[in-house]
Parts: sequence; structure tokens; C-alpha cells
Amino acid sequence: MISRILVLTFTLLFTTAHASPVQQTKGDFVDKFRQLEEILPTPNRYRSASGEPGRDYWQQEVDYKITAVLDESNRHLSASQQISYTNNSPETLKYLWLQLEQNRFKADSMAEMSGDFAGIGRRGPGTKSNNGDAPAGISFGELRRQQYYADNEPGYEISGVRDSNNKPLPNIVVGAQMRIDLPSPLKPGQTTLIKMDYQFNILEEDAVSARAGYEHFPDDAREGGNDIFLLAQWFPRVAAYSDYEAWHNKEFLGRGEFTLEFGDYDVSLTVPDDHIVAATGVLQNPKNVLSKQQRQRLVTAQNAPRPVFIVTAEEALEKEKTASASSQTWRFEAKNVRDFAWSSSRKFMWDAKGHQQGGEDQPLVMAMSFFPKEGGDLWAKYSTESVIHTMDVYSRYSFDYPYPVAQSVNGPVGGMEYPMITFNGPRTTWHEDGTRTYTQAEKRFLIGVVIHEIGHIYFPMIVNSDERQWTWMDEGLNSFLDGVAGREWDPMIPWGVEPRDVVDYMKSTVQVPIMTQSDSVLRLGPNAYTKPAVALNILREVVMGRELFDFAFKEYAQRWKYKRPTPSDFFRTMEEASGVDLDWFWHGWFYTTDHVDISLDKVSELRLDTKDPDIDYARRRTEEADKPSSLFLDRNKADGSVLWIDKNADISDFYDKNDRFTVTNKERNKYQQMLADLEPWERIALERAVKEDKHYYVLEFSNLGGLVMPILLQLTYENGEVEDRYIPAEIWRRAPHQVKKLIVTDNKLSSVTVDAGWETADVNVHNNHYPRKIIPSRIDAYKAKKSKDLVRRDIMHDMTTELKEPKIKPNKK
Amino acid sequence: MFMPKFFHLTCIVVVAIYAGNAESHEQKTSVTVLLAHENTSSLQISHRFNLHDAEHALNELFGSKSDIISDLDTQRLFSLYVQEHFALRMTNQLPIKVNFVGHEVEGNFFWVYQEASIPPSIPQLEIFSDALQSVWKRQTNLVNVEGLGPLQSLRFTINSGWKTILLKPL
Repeated sequence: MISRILVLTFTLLFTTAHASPVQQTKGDFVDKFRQLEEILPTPNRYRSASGEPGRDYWQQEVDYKITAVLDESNRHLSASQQISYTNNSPETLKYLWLQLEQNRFKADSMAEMSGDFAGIGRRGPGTKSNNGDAPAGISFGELRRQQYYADNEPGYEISGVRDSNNKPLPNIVVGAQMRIDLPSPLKPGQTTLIKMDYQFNILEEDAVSARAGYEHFPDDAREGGNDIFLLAQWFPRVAAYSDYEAWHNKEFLGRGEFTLEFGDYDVSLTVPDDHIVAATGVLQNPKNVLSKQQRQRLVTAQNAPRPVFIVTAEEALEKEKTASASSQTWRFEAKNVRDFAWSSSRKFMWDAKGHQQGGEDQPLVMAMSFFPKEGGDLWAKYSTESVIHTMDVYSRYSFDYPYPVAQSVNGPVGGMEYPMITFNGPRTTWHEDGTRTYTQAEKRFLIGVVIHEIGHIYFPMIVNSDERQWTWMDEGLNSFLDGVAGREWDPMIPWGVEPRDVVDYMKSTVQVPIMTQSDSVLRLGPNAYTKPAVALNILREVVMGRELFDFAFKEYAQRWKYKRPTPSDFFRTMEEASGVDLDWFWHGWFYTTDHVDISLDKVSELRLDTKDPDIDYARRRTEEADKPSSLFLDRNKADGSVLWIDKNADISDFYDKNDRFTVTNKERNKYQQMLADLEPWERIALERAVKEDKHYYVLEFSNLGGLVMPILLQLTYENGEVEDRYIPAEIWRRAPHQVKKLIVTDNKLSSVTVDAGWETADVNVHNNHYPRKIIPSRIDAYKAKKSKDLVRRDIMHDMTTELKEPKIKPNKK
Repeated sequence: MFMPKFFHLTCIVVVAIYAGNAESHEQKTSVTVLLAHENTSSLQISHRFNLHDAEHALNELFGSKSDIISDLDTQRLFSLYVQEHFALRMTNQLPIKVNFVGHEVEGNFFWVYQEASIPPSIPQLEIFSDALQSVWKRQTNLVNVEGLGPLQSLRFTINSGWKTILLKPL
């Protein structure tokens, strides 16, 4: 009878766990494994169901020929450009849309007009509204910004928009965008030529945070100082036109970055003739702009073991002292790039080292850095080497670096990426004695930011995702990979993002899903960088394993090299190439704000009945004897109370000698009959199970955070052995809230821990242990540590220290 | 006669304790956790800042030559700054004294620790957090309040001023 009840109970566990997957509007079932096809766009001839470019995939081509003149003293750029637009789409286009990012800084731009005083939408310095007892205020930075705008007129001045026959074309400027009406509809396969002239005042980057602009160095030897110019978003650029969105004419608001079409660039840049120019592309006229010695140094650098200075510190310092009145033109060509950026200054040192990566596409890549004395040794030691390390690592996970140069330029921008060229901000610190040093944090920052920005040349400069729409597609993938590269540089430096770093964000109640358009994200850092990078890290290390993940990730990169992927192409490729159903993962991590909190609620120990009454009844007797004795009886005994049976020992019967666990032949006969009725294979199975006498445990888990994940078990046995076991996330498929797992072990368990290595971003480690452990809070742990540290102080000596006024040190950039 | 044709597991020990109730870049974000120990009036406060953010912010704020990893004075300065830019108060704007516990560098982060005592049955808590917001407009400080009922989060941007969380449902 007992057996029947227990059997019933055990069966119930499984029946209650089963619910209909269609009952999603009734009851509490949540289909965590619902297939993403319902959300993703329908595959078509342009984008296949496998995540590959479809058989009729197309993208536009836009080629530019630009001549630009930098007016250094007025910080002004004037240029003419010819755009060659090839319509590879199946549609006929009556007009082109262009992005005019410089207009974002005009007073009447959407970004400026919609700016919330003291709001969060805008990059740059802050304002603060009055609130309670605190007055409204603006920071010095904001004051500088406003004064800059009062004194300067930002934005494009565009003229002479015309066709190839110099016939004016109708156009309209709409904020930071422009529509040009074509002289005749541009049919599929046709190319049109458009010419225009434009000019603008170059922004002061430190005043307005524009991702580009000039930086002034007033302390240089030259009277009036010098500038570094970083030019990006510096020409009217044709917006992307895609199969899934048509014109990507979402105006630049300052946060959501960019995407353009691939094309070839021929750019001539006229600058003061003592400037050094770094730009997207390959210099076409080195004999005109470089000395013979510089050209020889470049050749030497191709096979040098360490970076070779093309312009040395001394040469750059000498140039800082004066300024040339004449100019010269640097001409660059870049093939198959989605943008063009450049920088120019007489302050630049320039070092280079050839990266001999081999392969057929681009066996030699010149890694180069351009930096002023303010970058100093920090840059000389680590910038170019970091560029090479990045290519070395990223290429293993994607494709060979396909361009002839990879450059890192120091200027006022903290970190920004363009094809073949990146802007990176870390600097040394000047001291009164004239020396320059840098902190450990600044060194990490330099190496980290160079890796990150050079990494962006792969994602999204080559794997051309739309940054403005899906920031995570470039920042998330790139943050994941820069963590891989950083850990290969020096694992002692805390690189990248560990799952534990994102738990406070993921459990917070103020967040939006990763799949949110860039300009609408509430906290861009955790949303677009950290969380997706952690997600990919978990996918690689926990869910898929490195072999499957790396293959699929590389497949994605190679499929979309020089093409325009969307999130669905990434999701589909990762699944299709790995053979792992990841819809639950994409849905949970990218489309919801659920977090991971798996609680191990209960562990029950079970034992297999042998059915042999001589064995099972004896076990029951032992179990009964092992139970705690009755407090009542213990106290009676302690009081000296004598039992009736002891006082009347002469009265006894059969039951005084045979307890309720005594086995009779009735049970033995039943057992033997049961054995006789078994099929031969059943008898063998029973005999083996009885002989092995394994330990059976039922573990009960709750999913408190909503995000289903694999359950990483660490089993610790009484004999001290430790074993890791993996329960796939699929255990939650039909029971998203609670699941039970039977585990069978050879040895007796002493404890069980879920995610002992903190690999899944589980937000609550307290409920991961069974039995529960006392886990000190961060502050309690700190206090315990600190109390030891304090003992080391020599307080008797330190008490004699005299109080001093702090010294005010002169400050110089 | 009942004769099972399969073998079942008999539960011999049920340990019935349920615990179910229980950028290489300047990131320009911080996380503060207010953790209340159950059944006590003690509130532990830990502030987490990215190291690069902290060092660059100090340079912006004080024009100093900061070294957040190695220089103890830099650490003290930033710690003081964080303490000055965080505050708690009760209803009627009665301030809650927040005591400094310590600070440390761990991994990529600079941590500042504080403690406060709160009356056991206050209906709401007012929080202020504006560290680094005068430096970078984009600075966002996330505050998670844990252990006082369900987790509650507050997001402090430059416009936020004081924010209130209700500790008991009205």
C-alpha cells in the first residue's frame, strides 16, 4: 500500500509539470521556447532563412571623389565632391537622401530643438534643472558649449548641387538630412553623377562632443599654439538604402551612429605643408608630401620587429614651434569602404609597423599611429602594437583584415571608429619637471580603446550593420571580441565584461530590451555594450561551447563581410551554423528584460527499494532507529521513571521479541513470486540495481528571474570529491517556473551548488547553495578584510605627522 | 494482488527547507546598491564606478593628476566626492546620516562603501545621487534598493534631484 502511494506521488511530479503550450492566455504557462520565426522578418530572396544573404541580395554602391581644403587659421573646411551612385536595387529611385551630420549642431536641428534641458539625450556637457532646494545650474562645460555656439556658426553651407552636366538639381535640406531630386528616375542597374560644393566651420570637439573636430593646444612653443584636426561625418553622405528599410533616413540626433553604403573614395586633402595627414585609404602621392627619409622609414617598418618612427618625437616637436604659410595636397584612395575619415596636424609623431598576416587578400597591413607629444611614451609603446594584436585576434574569429592600413590617431575624441582609421583619446600627464607619465588606468584605457576601435573596423565597418538602428550589433559583438583580445594580451588586467558585472543592471527595474532602437535606449552602456557582450560570452562558454560558437560566429562574419546584416541574420546564422536551437536565448536575452535567478529550493534523497523483504524491512528498521528519540521518553528516563514492562518482566509475548519490521514467509513468498513473474531483462536490471545500490536525489529548482538558462550543477560528495554536471536550458521548456531533476550518484552527496563559477549572470547567489550558506554582503566582506589591513598601520608613528596645507600645482595639458 | 511491474524510489529523507521566498570606454554609468538586512535597521550602501570614469572625472573636476589604481590620495579624493554626491532622507526631508565604511579598487571598478540606520517602519525613503553628472551630461546612476520588499530601481540622470521609493504599499 505504501508502495502504491509513493508510485502515485512520483508520477504526479511529471504530470503536473506538463501543460499545454498553446494555453498562453490562461494559466501561468510561458512558452520560453517559442520559435522566433513569429517575430523575425519573413525570409525572402534577399535574406534567406539560414541567415545568409539571399540569392538576389543587393546593395547600393556609392563612390566619392572629393577635394577639400583645410583653412587652419579659421578652422574651416571647404570642399567639392562628385558622387557616383549606382542603383543595384530592383526599385527605381526618383531622389537620393543624404545625411548632413554637421547640421545636427545647428540651433534649429532636431537634436538641438528637442533637447530636454537637463535631460539625458545629448552627448556633451551637462545642465541641471532646479529641483527642491537645489537651484538650477549649468556646468562650466555647458557654458563653454553655449559660448562656442554664440561665437561660431556650425553646420553645412551647401551650394552648387548639380548633375553631371552641371545642371542644378532641386534639393531640400530637412534638418540634418537632404533630399536631392534626380533629373530622371534612376532605374535598376543605372548610375547617376551628382556634384556639389560645401563648407563648414570645424567644431571644437572639447566644447561640443561631436565625435570629431579640432583640439587646441595653447601651450605649444608656436605663438597661438597648434591644433589637431579630426575630420569625420565631414561630407554630405548618401544615406543607406536597403532591402528591408529602403532609405535609412533617420536623422542624426547625436547618439545613434551611422551606416553608409560601400564604395570607392578618391580624396585630395589640401592642408598646411608642415602637417601630417592620416586618412582612410592609401596615400597616392608619397613623393609629393613625404621626404625621402620618411619613405625609406616606411619601407623599413614593413618588416620591423617593433614600430619604426616615420616622424620622430624630436621632428614633431620642432614642427610645433612654427607654422608654414604654404600648403600641399595629400591624395588618398580607398577601395570598398563605407566611410572616410581623416586627421591632420603638425603635432603628429608617426610610427608604423608591418603586420605580415599572410593570406591572399592582404598579406601586409601597415599598422600606424599618429600622436602628439601629449600621447608620449604611452602611445609609442602600446598604440601600434595594440593595433596589430587586434588584427591578430579578430582575424581568427572573422576574416583576414582586408585593408592595407590600420591606424590609431590621438586627438580629442575618446574613442571612435572609421574604416582603416580610429580616433583614440588616452594621454600622458605632464609634470612640473617636464616629464610625462601615465597611470595604470590610462594604460589599460589606451590598450583597451585601441583594441575596441580597431575591432570596429571589422564590426561594423566591414560587417556593415546599422549602428543607428541596432547599436548592440556592432558595440555588443565588438565588446565581446575586445574582451577575447584583451584576455589574450594580459589576463591580469581585468578586461571585458564578466557575467557578474551586469547583474545589478539586469535585475534593475529601469531598463529596455537590447532590441531597442539606439536613440531610445535608456542606458546605452549596459544595454548596447555590456549586456550583449555578456550574453555572447555565456553563449560561447556555457550554452554552445567554444567550438560550435566560434564556427558559427566566424560564419556570420564571413557571410556578411562587405554586406549589411540585420539582427535576424545574426540570430539565424548562429543557429543554422551551430545546429543549436537558440531561439529561447535570443528571445530571453535580446527581446525581454528578464534576468537570471535560478533557485535550488530543495534536495530530496531517495533510495531504490529492492523488493526483497529481508533487505527492505531491515532498512526500515534502521531508518526508524536513526530518528531522534522522543524528548518525552528521554525526560521520563532522566526522571528515573521505570517502565511497566520492566516492572512486569514476567509477562511477555511474541510481539516483544518480533518488532513490526520482522519478515515473515508471507512476504518472502510474495517476493519470490514477484521475481518469478519478471521478464528476464527485468530480473537482470533489478539484480544490477540492487547490487550497485546507487544514491538517488531529486533536485527542485525555481526560475525566479524569468530568463531560462542551463543549470550548472556542482555536486560535492561526503568523500570530498567534487563533480560538475550540466542541465541544458531545455529542461524549462514545458515548466518555465519550477523543474525537478533526478540525479543518480555513486557516492553520497553533502552539498549542491548552482553556477558555482558565476558564469550565468545569476543575480542572487544566496539561493544557489544547498544546504544554504551564509554569504557575507560586499560590505561585510570588506569590513572583514579591512579589519586586518588596519592592523598593519603604524598608528603611533603616523599620529606624529604634522598637518600640512595642500600644494597647488600648476596644470598644463 | 498488487504486483508492481516497475521499481519506484522511496523517499527516506526529505530535507524540507524551502528558500523560494527568499567600455574600454568611459561607460558614464555607476551602480549603487542599498541593501537592507532583514529585520534590522541597517542599510549597507555600495557604490560602483568604472575606474576610467573615476580617474577622468577627477581630472575634469579638480584639474588634478589622478591615479585611481595606485595613488591613495586619488582614491580618497574620489571616495569623498562620491560620498558628497549621495544622500538619504526620510519624509519631511529629515536627513538620514550616512556613515563612511571604506573604499577599494576591485577589478575594473572603484567601490565606495557606506552604511546608514533607518527607522524600521518608515513608509518611504528619499534618495539623491548625482555623482559625475556635472562632468558628463550622459552620466546615469542606477540605484537598486534591495531587502526592503521587492527590489526597486531608480535611475538618476542630471535632472533627477531627489527621488522617492515607497517601502510599503499604500
